[in-house]
Amino acid sequence: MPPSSIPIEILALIFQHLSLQDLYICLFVSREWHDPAEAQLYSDVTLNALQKTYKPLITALKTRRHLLRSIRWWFAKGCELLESDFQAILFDDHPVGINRGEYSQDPSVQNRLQFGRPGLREFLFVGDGRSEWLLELIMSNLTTMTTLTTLTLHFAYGFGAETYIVDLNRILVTFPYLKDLSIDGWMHEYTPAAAKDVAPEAEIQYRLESFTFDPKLMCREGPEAFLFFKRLGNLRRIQIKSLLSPYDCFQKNRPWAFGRALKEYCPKLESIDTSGTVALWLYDLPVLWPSKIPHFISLVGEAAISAQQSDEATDGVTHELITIEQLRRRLQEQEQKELLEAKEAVPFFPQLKRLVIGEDHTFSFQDIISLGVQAQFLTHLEVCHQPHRLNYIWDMYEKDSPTAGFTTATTGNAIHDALVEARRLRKRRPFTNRDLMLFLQLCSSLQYFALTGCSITFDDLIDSDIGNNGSKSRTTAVVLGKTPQFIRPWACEDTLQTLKLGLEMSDAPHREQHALVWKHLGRLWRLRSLTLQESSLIASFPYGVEGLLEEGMGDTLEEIRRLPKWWKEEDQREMMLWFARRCPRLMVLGLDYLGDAGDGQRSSGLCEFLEDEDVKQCSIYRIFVELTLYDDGKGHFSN
Amino acid sequence: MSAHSQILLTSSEGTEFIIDRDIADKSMLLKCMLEDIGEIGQAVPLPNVSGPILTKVIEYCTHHRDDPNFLSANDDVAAEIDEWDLEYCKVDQGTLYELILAANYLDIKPLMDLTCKTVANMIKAKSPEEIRKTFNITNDFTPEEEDQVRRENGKGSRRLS
Repeated sequence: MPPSSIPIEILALIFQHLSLQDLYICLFVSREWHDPAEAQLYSDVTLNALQKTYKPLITALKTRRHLLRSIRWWFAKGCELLESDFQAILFDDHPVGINRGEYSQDPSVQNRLQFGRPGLREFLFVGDGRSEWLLELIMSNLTTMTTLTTLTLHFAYGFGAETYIVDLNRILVTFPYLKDLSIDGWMHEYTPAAAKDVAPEAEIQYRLESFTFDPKLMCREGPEAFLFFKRLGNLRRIQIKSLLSPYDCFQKNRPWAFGRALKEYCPKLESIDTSGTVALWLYDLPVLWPSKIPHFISLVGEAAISAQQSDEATDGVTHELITIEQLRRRLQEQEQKELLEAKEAVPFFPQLKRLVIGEDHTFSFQDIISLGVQAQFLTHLEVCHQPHRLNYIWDMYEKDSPTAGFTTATTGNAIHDALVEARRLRKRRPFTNRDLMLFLQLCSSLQYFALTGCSITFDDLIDSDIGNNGSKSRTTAVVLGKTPQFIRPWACEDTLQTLKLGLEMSDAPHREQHALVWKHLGRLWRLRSLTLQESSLIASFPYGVEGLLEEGMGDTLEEIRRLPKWWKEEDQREMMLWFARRCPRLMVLGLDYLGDAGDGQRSSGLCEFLEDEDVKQCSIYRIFVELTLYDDGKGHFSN
Repeated sequence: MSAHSQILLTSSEGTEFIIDRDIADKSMLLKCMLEDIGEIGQAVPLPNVSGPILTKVIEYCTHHRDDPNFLSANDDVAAEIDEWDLEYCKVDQGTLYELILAANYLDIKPLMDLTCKTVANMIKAKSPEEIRKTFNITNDFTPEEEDQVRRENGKGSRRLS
C-alpha cells in the first residue's frame, strides 16, 4: 500500500520541529511543501552583521518580510551598517530621513509603514555606540511593530557614543501587547520624570509581565518617583542588571522606597533576578518595640545620634542606659530569633517563588529574615555569595536616602521619631553561610538551590544548639569525643531536585564527619542533579560516601558534577563502577580536577573505563574531568 | 463536580465512548467546554474524529493520566521520546496524520507535539528525493523553478543562525 501524503494543513505544525537545515531541504520537495517550509524558515531569524550569511539573508528577507515573527539583530563594532537594509526589512522600502524630519507625507507610504509588519512578535536589537542614529530610527519607527510581545534593546558601549534616553512610557504606550521588555547595556538613561506623564485618568494597566532594567531606574527623587510602576500591575518577573560599581550607583539609589513601590504596585511579582550591585530591599521589618528592648525609648535618641557620628561614640553612653554595642547585640539576637520563627517581617513580595542573587549583591541578613516569612513558597533560590567582597558597602546601604518618599520625616512627635530611628538602628548586615543553611530549614518547596562564590564549612552545617532542638528524631548526628554534632535536616528534602554547593571540610578532618555530610546530602532523595564545586568533601568508602545513596537518591540522580576527585587512582575505577551500578539514570559524571596540569592527561583512562563490559549496560554517556578554575570541562564523550 | 464523573463522547460515525472526567480534561477543548457549560449529561459530538482515532487518543490520555508534567512533557525540543510513546506512534502514516489532526482539534498539546515530532523525525537528515520517497510525493518543480528557489534562498540561508 503506498503511503498517503501528509495533509497540507498539518505540514506547518510538523515543520516547527525541524532544524533550519532540514527546512531548507524541504523547500525543494514539492510546490505544496515550499510555502509552509519557507514560512517556518523565515519566521525566526538571527541577523548578525559579522557573519557571511548576513547579506544573502538580507536579500532573501526583503521579499519575505511578512513571514517574520521574530528577529534578533546584532550589530557589532567593525561591521557595515546599512540603513537601507534596516528600513527595507523592518519598516519600509524607502529610507526615512529621521534627523531631517523628512517623514513622508504620502499616505500610501504611511500605510505601508503602519501595516508593514503585522505579525512581528519578537525583536531583539544589539547595537554599538556608532549605531546611535539607528536607535533613533528604531524608536521613531517602532510604531510599525505594534504587535510586538517581546522587545529587547541592548545599548552596548562604543567610542564617542552618547547616552540614549529611554522613554519607558512611550514604549509601553506604543506596544500594547508587550509582555517582555528588556533594556540592557551601558549607554542609556531613563526619562527623568515618569510621574508627570501619568495622567490621572490613565489608570489602565499594561500587560507587561517581564521587565529587565538597570538600577538607574531606581535613582529617582521625590515621593512620586516610582509611579511608573503603578501601571505595571501584571508584572511577574523583574531582572535588574547592574554594570556599575557600587560607588557609582549607591548614592542616588533608593532601595527601600523602590521596594515599597514594587510591593504596592506589583502584587503578582514572583521572580526577582539581580546581578551586580543592586540595592533593593526586600523587607519591611517591624520596629523593635520597647517591650523587646529594655530602656529603649530613653536610649534611642542618644543612640541614633551616636550612631550617626561614629562607632567610637559609644564611650559617651553611660549610666543606666545600655551602650550602642549592647543594643546592637540585642538586636542581632532578636533578629536571629526572628529568622527562625519566620513570622516577624512583612514580606514585600508575597508571591515570590524565584530569587536569583548575582555577584556583588547587597542582600542582607534582614532580607533573609524577611524571605523566611514566605520561605515555604520559594521554589528556586540561587545565590552568588562572596562574603569577603562585601564589607565596604554595608555602611552605604544602611539608610535609605533622606529624599526617599517612604522614609518618614521628623514630625516632632518624640515617640514617633524614636520609632523611625529604631527602624534605622536595625543595621543591615551581610548574611553568613550559616544564616543560609538555617534558612534552608524553612524552605519546604525548594526545587533548585545553588550557592556559588563561596564554600560551606562543616561548622556552617552543624547545629550547635542541641538543647533547643525540637526535631531530634529527624536529625543526623555524629559523636566525636564528648560533643555530639548534629546537622538539622533541610526542609526541602522531599522537593529539591538540583543542588549546587561547595563544601569545604578542612575544619572537619574525621571520617565520621565526612560520613555525616554524605548522609545529610543523601536525605535529598529526589535529587536529579548534584554539583559539588570546589569541595574538599572526600568521596570514598572509608569516608562514608555510601550515605549519599542510602535514602534512594540513586533512582533519580541523572547528573553528578564536580565530584571531588580526591580518592586514589586505583579507587577511581571502583568508585565510578559503584555510581554506575547504583544510579540507573545517571548520564553525566564530572570529576573535579584539583591536581596539577599533568593530571588532566590521565583522564583519557576514563574512556577505556566506559568500554568495560561491566558498565556497558549503564546509562552513563559522559565522564569527564572538570577544571576547577575555569569551569570548562575537558569533555570525553563516549557511547 | 467530582473528578470521577464520566463523560459521553460520540465519534464521527456515531460510536459512543464513556470516559472519566479527568481523562477528558487532558483535552483543552473538552476541559474548557465542560467548565463553561457544565456536564449536561448529553453526549458530546466530535464530528471531526473517527472511532478508531478516538480510541487511540483515549489510550494516550489514559496512559498519561497521572503524569504531573503532562502539559510541559514535550516542551524540550531535543528531549528523547520515551519508550511507551515511541511504541504508541508505531502506526501507519495515515493514522499518524489523523492523530495530529485530532490532537490539534481536541487541543491536546503533548500528543500534538509527540505526533508532529514523530513525523519530523521521518524528515530529518534526508535529501529532497528521499523525503519524496518516504511520503509518496511527486516532484512538481520544473528545473527552472528549482533553480529559482535555490537562488532566492541563497546558500547562506542554510545556516541562518
